[in-house]
Amino acid sequence: MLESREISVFYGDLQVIRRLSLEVRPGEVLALMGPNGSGKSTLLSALCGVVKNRTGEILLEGRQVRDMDRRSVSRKIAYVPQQSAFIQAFKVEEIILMGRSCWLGAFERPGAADRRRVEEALAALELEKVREKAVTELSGGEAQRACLARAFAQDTPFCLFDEPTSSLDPRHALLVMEKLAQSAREGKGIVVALHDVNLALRYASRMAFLREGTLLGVLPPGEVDGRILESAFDVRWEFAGEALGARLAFPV
Amino acid sequence: MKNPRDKFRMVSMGFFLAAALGAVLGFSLLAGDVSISPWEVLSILASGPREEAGSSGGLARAVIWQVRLPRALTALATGAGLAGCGVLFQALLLNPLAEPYTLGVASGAAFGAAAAISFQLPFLTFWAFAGSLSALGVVLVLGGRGALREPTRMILAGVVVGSILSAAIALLKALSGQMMGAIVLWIMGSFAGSDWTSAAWCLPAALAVFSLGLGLHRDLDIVASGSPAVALGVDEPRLRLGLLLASSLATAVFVSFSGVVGFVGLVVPHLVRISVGPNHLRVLPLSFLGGGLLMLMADQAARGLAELPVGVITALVGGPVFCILLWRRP
Repeated sequence: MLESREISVFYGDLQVIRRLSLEVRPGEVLALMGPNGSGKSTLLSALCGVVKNRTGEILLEGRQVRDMDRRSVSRKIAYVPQQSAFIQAFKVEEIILMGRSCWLGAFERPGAADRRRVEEALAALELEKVREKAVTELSGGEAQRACLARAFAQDTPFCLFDEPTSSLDPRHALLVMEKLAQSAREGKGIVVALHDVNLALRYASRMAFLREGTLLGVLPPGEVDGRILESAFDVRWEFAGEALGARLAFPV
Repeated sequence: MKNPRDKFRMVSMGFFLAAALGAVLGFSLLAGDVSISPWEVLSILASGPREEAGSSGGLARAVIWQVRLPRALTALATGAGLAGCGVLFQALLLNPLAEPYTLGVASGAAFGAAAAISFQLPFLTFWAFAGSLSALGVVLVLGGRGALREPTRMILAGVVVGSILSAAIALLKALSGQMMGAIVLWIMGSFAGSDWTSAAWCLPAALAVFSLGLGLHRDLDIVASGSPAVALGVDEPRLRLGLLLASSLATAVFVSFSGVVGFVGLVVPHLVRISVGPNHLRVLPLSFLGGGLLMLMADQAARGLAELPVGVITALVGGPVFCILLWRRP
């Protein structure tokens, strides 16, 4: 279990997360929903211990993340931020192999198991054709998939993704969401910040609604109603039927 | 990953550089005013630095052991070390223009040396070293702790300190009268004064940078790629502080003994990256060999051209090569 207990995060004098408690269970896709600036990204980075200026506790399997070294944390939690800005021209497969870095000693060469994870991640995100390409030459969507593949290669029990489908075309967005759902079925705890309410209604096990750094509520998709959507996003919502077993919601 | 083409390129380039380095090192022991045959050089090297009773060739032995060998080793270590430090700086500061002198180490050393020359203080190397460490200290304090997360701030601190020191050096030059020539020559770099003391400092400094960089090559890859290092298990601020400090200290050693030899630390890493890609497991060893080779060749040329400043030669030889590679790069 990965959980935050009463955490608050500050950027200077600005409080962006307010006494927020949330738990991520193995085997679920937890969708973080909320408008821009509601604290989704900050919460994700706080959950993996990246944010320094915070109060409260982040517990990973009962241990304080703050007391763990970075390598141990990254063997348990993979995190893909919203922006990927590649600088030097590493190949796609080299970038994905970096996900295995936390499992390797200083002079240890990647073994067969590491290579297998990389191959699986390349295949899962349909990156085989660009495996030799420099990441600096990729399209936005390909770069985003490379970052996601790196996190899958990291092979951690918890994965945090910040808007993983923001640069993807519909087919690849579905591919990624299916992969997340599959990972959850295999027992991983997945947290994903999303703007697409319908993707969340379809794939999430639970949806957490944030506004101005405060948690408004956590609900299974079946119990999400117009009221909580409106209080999160400040716009009225209507539900219009179902597709593929999930309800469809539209802002009006 | 396992790509035979990459591996072949890396191995063949490494082999070529190592062979060229060996050849130039051999040549640097042979060439000079005192003519010594290859066979004689080998026998002098094999029999050690001390003259045995009754043996002949005392002058040749002194030339090899006291002049040519320490000078060649100092040049080699300085070139290799500066290129290695350049690799680390460019990776850690996320900036292709970063070089070992970015954090003010060179300006500090130059100021220390210029002051020592102006005021005719003894122990020039000591003052240069003290100057470079002081400049580095000021840059780190100016940058503050936040600088370790925000490399741009560190670079700015280095630029500002460097500018102030450059102005101070210009002032010293203007006030130093007859000593001005000596200051200018020192700053431009030379291995003419190298001895076993300089070799004994520069070789371990270069090796330390090399071992540190190689041991942390994966972390360097992650940081240099622009990936979220902390999420991948790299304590980025700690890595940045540790390696920048270590390579700045090594650079301080190099510049204190041999002056501010430019170009090698900036351009050799780029040359290597253009050839074999950015992976540090390949870039670091090849930059080491390349930097050592370029510096040794430049020093050889400096010896042949009436001790022309070696920095002038590294830039004049390496610059056009870099231009050609940059032009040919797709």
